[in-house]
Amino acid sequence: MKTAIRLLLIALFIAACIGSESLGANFRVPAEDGWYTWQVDASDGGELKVYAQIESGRPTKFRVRGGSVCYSNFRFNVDANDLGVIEADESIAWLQGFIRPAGDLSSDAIIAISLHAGDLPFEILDEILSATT
Amino acid sequence: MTIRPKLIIATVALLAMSASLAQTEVSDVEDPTEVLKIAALEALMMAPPKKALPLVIKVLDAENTDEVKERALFVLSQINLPEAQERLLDVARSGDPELSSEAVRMIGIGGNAEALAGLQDLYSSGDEDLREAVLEAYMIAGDVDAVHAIATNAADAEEFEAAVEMLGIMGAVDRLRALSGSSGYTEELIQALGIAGGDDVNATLMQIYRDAETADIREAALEGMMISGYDEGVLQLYKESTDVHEKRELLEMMSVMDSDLMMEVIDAALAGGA
Repeated sequence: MKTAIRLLLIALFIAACIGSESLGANFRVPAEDGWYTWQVDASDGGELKVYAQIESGRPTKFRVRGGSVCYSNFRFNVDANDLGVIEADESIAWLQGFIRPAGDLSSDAIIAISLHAGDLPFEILDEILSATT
Repeated sequence: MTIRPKLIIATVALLAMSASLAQTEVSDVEDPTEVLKIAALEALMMAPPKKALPLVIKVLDAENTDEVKERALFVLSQINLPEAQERLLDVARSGDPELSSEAVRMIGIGGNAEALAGLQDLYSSGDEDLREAVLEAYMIAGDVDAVHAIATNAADAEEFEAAVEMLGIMGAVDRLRALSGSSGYTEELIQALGIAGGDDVNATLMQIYRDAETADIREAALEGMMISGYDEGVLQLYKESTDVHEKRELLEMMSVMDSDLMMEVIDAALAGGA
């Protein structure tokens, strides 16, 4: 009986993992050092390329490029590992994790998020702007 | 470079700095919540105006620091929607000691014609700080007509001086000449000409100096040359003068101007020629 319950719990856990994977809620940028890039729908209706530099397992820089927007140095040109096309909300969810604590990376993350398509960027900006000290 | 031009350049630089409010310097603000709010406001600059406007207005209506609200005003100035400009005018009229002058300057940065027109009433009813902010807004927007109108209708000498000085900063030499039409070149106008600078102005300043009927006007013309950095003119006057007292004054002015031409005078003196 105990074994059956255990198996049932394991099955439920696996199903949950597979389910979340199919929803794309687990987007992660690899922890290996280097530049990574992925593409999302942009707020201007075009495509946005998001770049992240990883050092010692953590992002140190975010940059974005799109049709009508560019949040990077105009000479910005890196050899980045392409992670492919990602849902905007997934990308936002990952970037959102680096808004706090406040620092240089937070500004990059906020700007990058704001250029993604959908309502989620505005919900996040609203949350930040409504915060009380 | 002389002291006065440095002051003017510093003022313009300060205005330019206030115009670049979109650049977030995290190190300038200590409160983490405030840092994030400023970054979020910066992000709104790239958002569609209709979506950004409600959030910016929310920031202005909520309890926020002046720093955050000033950034919000800048974002508002970049939103080319009637509601945004109206809201800027509302803040300008609010009488808030910190924000109303800033809102006025932001109207200048935004450059919206209707909002700029709304500043005329504010100038008439505002205190000294607000009047100064209105003049700065017109300068930022390059609205020479509005500043000229203020100079023409000035209620007192102080108001006139502030307006013509701004015309000088704006390089509106023709307007300064036009203002001299009724009462001649006053000290304020002469100094404003110096601020405007340029070859044409330098020639006028020389003429004013030579034709001056009072010591005050002569001094103002000399000061105008100092402001415009026209040391060649001062040297020319030095060479022309036969009055020892006047020569000393002109030499002192060249010294104040830190002019390299002083060497020419010294060489001539050593050679026994001057």
